[in-house]
Amino acid sequence: MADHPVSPSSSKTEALAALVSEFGAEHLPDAADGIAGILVDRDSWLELARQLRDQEDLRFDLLVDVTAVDWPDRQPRFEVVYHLWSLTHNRLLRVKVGVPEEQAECPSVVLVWGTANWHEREVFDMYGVRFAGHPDLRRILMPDDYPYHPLRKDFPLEGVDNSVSYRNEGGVLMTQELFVDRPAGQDPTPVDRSKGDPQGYSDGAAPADES
Amino acid sequence: MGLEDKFPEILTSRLTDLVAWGRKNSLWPMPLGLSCCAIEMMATVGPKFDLSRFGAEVFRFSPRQADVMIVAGTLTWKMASVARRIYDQMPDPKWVIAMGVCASSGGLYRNYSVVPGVDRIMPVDVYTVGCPPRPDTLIRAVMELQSKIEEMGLDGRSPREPIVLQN
Ligand code: SF4
Repeated sequence: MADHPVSPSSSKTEALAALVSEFGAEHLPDAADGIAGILVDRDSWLELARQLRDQEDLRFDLLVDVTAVDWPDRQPRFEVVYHLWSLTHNRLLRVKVGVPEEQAECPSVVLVWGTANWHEREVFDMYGVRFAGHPDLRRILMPDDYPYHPLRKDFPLEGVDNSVSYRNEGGVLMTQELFVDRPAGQDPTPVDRSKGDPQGYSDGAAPADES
Repeated sequence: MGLEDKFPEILTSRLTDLVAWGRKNSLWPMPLGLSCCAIEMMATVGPKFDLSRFGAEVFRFSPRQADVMIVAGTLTWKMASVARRIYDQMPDPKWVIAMGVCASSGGLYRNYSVVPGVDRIMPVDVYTVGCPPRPDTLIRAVMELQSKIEEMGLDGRSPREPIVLQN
């Protein structure tokens, strides 16, 4: 990655700089991996994405990845991160879009890069960021009725026990009951393993400093 | 036992014992191979370990024809309702072997996506250790289950106390 041709020079860098100033975006400081990055306002992101794909000197025609970062102490809390690759010019670009917690929504770029479809569903599933204009914004990895967004930093690392209390009773458990033991609006309850497992496992005293 | 004296070619038995003997020697497993443990489960029915010596080699991929479910692998929350439905489709009497630490307790995956033990969604009869358990451990689980079935009544339900295999 280090010798990736991201070196400044030429019309390509100028085209990017022109676009950045036109849309009020910012250049990000140099990253350790040497990939150029820009920080974009979410209102202008969709139009900027089109330009990045279509301008002759840029031609970022491949969307490599969409992910997000949760910064609990920052404003805005979420950063949606896109990695773009121009196959024509062999250049990489990182785009970050800030998304506040109160209105966790970001324009969908599915119409620009079709491959964004499942990536954006994953970001929605894991971080709860909604993508406006997405044709089919459903969870992709977790069950449809799963109540949390587990890669948010306030979600407990060891997970939440969603099952109803059920252990060798010979009773019948309906599948829909798997996720309804939590009243709506209540905060997720972390599994308290300090007194052994709540369902009766005992794998010894859990170390106190685990969390 | 006057009957046996009069007809020496006849064996008498209690019906409960006869049914239990038949059940325990013709287990038809439903292989719920969810991840890496399934490879060892396949090896167990192969010629080297040969689970058919214990009458449990007829793996059925339809739950309606099976009576023991071998949960071999990591059960995720997304798969949980499916696994439970497969269990519900098996006819009674039915039993469950939790193969490996993932199926028994979630194993090393203590996180948002993995069910911490399949007994969260279905009753388990035998828990096995190992990541993955060797085929001998699975064979032993089957044998423990057989001895448990032997003690069961005609309804095939009691006793339900799970067996935990130790190393
Ligand atoms: S117990 Fe080990 S081998 Fe078995 S499914 Fe879990 S990780 Fe894989």
